Amino acid sequence: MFKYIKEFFKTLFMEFKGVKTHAVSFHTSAVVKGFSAEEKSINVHSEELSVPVNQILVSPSVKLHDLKNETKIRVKRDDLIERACPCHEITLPNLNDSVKTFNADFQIAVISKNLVFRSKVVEGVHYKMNVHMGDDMHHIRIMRIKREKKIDKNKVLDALARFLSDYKGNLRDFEFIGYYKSVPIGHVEKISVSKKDLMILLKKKGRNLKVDVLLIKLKGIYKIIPARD
Amino acid sequence: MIGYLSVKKIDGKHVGGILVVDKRGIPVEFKYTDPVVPTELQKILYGSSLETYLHADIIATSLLGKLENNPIVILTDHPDLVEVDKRVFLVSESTERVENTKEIGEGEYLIPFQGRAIRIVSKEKPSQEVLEKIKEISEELDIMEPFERLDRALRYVCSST
Repeated sequence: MFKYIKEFFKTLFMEFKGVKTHAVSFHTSAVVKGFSAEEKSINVHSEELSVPVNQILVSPSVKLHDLKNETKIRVKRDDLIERACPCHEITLPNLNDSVKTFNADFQIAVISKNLVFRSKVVEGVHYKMNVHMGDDMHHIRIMRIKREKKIDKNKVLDALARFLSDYKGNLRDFEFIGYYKSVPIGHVEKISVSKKDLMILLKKKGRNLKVDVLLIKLKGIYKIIPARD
Repeated sequence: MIGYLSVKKIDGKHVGGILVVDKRGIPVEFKYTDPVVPTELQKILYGSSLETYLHADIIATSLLGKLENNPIVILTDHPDLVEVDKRVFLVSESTERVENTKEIGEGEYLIPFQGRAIRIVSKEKPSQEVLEKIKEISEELDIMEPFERLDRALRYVCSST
């Protein structure tokens, strides 16, 4: 009789002391969220995979009230693939409120080998690349021609002299902006000026003609003057 | 003709394009890839080699494979792409001034450009013909400018998908 009473109090004492055991079973799709494989040849050498506990399915008999949402189980990927064994359950010792994480090294047995390798490949490892033709895209037909830092003085003066000989307006309205080399004038659909550079929208088909040009501003309006060779 | 090959990572998407222009800078051919967003699995499996693999082995190789024209020189602004093809040259502007083409290392040259120089790096030592071609093109047009067009086009591709 005394033996039974002693055993009763011993058990009761252990309960109050908080020594608990947990049997946890892992469902593969939860454990390997975002990662699955159907071939053994896939070999992952990487940092640890962290899986939030709330993503892991646990058998109904398990009391998981000790595990908070932020608790994570860490599983080494190498172990996940290569050292998995058919055991489905494990007892996790010393699992209490103070335990926020625990290491997979002693839990690896809970992962079912069959389950791991039965998982479907949900994402392809290899890339398939589609290549498109973009000849019609107007972005590739906008050419920037920068203002030359070194100008050909003779060419510029000659072109300006020709222009000014016919110019009747006030010279105060005249402003020289820049000199630009090799402008494909035969392909110009539209020209605009951006930060003193010429922005040319090129036509798909045009004449094979390139000229050096001067850009001037007359009463606030840009004007292009070709320079002769 | 000269080719311009570029691969960009824009807003997490990897995209590439190749633009072939004639000696006046007029576009002759443009091809681009679908933007690719690596999955978490791919990031894990490829690790730090992901971008190199994606840019060189997948994107650039696919683009070169689909190229209809055959430019003698393909310039790139991306170091990883030099390994893809012996026609591909990494090009960058240099502050050095050179009068003539100058070899500064193995497969590395300075070529006069707009009073200064461009630096080119290739997988293999280029032939004299190729070096002359690059020099000739750099005298005729702003050899770096088509990269701006490629950049705009690739940004457009990424933004529209």
